[in-house]
Amino acid sequence: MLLNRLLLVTLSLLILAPAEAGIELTENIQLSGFGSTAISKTDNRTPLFISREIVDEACYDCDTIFGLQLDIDIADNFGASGQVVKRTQDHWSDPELEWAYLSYEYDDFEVRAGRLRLPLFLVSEYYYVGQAYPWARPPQEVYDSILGFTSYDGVSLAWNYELSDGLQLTVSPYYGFERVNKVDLGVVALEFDTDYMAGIYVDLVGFNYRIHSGFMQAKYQQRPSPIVEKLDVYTLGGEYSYDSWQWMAEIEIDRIQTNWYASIIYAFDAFSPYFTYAESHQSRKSKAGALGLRYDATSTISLNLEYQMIFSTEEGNRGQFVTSPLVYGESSDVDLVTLSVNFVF
Amino acid sequence: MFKGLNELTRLLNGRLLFLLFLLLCCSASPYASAVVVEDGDVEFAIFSLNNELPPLSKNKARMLYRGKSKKISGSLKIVLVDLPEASIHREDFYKMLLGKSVSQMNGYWAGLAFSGKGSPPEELDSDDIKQILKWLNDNPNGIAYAPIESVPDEVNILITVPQGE
Repeated sequence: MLLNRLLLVTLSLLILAPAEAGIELTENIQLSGFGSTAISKTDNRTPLFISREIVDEACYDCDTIFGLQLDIDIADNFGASGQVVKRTQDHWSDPELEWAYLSYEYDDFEVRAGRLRLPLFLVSEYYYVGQAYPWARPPQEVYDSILGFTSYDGVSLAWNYELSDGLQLTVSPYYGFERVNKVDLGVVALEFDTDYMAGIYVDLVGFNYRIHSGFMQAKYQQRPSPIVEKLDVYTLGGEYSYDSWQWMAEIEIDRIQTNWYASIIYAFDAFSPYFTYAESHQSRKSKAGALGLRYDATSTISLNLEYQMIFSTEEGNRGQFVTSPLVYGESSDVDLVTLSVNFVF
Repeated sequence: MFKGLNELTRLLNGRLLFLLFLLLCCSASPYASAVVVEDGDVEFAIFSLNNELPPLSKNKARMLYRGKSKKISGSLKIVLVDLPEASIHREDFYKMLLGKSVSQMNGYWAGLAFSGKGSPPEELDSDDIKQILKWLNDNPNGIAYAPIESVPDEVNILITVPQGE
């Protein structure tokens, strides 16, 4: 923890250059960073979204993220990468080591070992980098489905194979060893003793599209319960762009829920209006639409203005809140307005 | 329409749906069919000083400049260079090759860079051909782009844009 804090502070002091591709500390060491912050407000007293907990008073730090990444070329084909992130749920003094791994590339293969990002969804790998996706936040219906857990400690292997000049296949199995995953859900703190998290993803990538399919199995105990549970998670997503249009859609399925969203984005010079429709079923029950506008102010700074309406499909169900709105004597429907700013360096 | 999809997901169990989708994915056409916008009468050359580099197909050029592929001929690692952000050539080139604006490209590169899948191309200080040639001289596996009329005869032109092939 102290190490994280020191790292964050030291690295922050180095942010002086406006270079867009990060800062080259030496020829082989590159520092880059990203951040987002927002003013957000709902019309409901029930805290909305895991780890963000937005309510009906303007919130200035519910969506604040700041991260630093250090990439090191150790030798030919041999590298290391570290990412420290102050996530939305973290205090500035206690950021999270989101990843730290060694990688080795050989031919069409890449092995990584250390703390790695769970590759479940389309934007999982840059989940904290608002600048890299069109929305103010990745759609919660899908991205919060496994309570926002983003990393595992273990190994991954990726096989990148060129099927043709314009089509690349990636197959990547991974295995995460035992660890404890914690998340706060409003006033309730959940702890999962995870035995293992293992999975595989298969990607098909063309110059203007990507299809991402994933499977993960986790074996865990939810403390203090002694019952060992297994969860199989299936994900499928696709993105496609044509001229100024971009489409994205994803679905997540496991035994307790099904979630999906579809999004359409139109790029109009520096402005990109977008619309996202999303549904959650079984454990969370809601339907939602979000209309937004992204403005690319410079190559490294963007703004999002987004209006989202979430409708409960079962009175009292948690939906995208952290707890049932009945606890607060509130309506199950909620509107949310967000003005966010994202940057990278 | 959405209701229908829900019914479907409920009917099929997750595993089956997953396999079905995988099948669908694998049968997707590898031939992307973006129409290149003819923008004025600029024509670009993608070129190198390395005569061993083979000609590029349009698909391959697009994969390289989207950062989705880094190698040619299976094993040759390619290095890209970009013109300055303010250069009109940069804007035109990406519009022609990929149909994307510079700000859209910046977003993509942010995604790639922060997922450890690649870093954006090095950016030159100016779009002067002398600078480009100097960079290529320092980077034997480097490729660059420039308006075709500014490119000297002795370079290895891998493909022209928008003509292609």
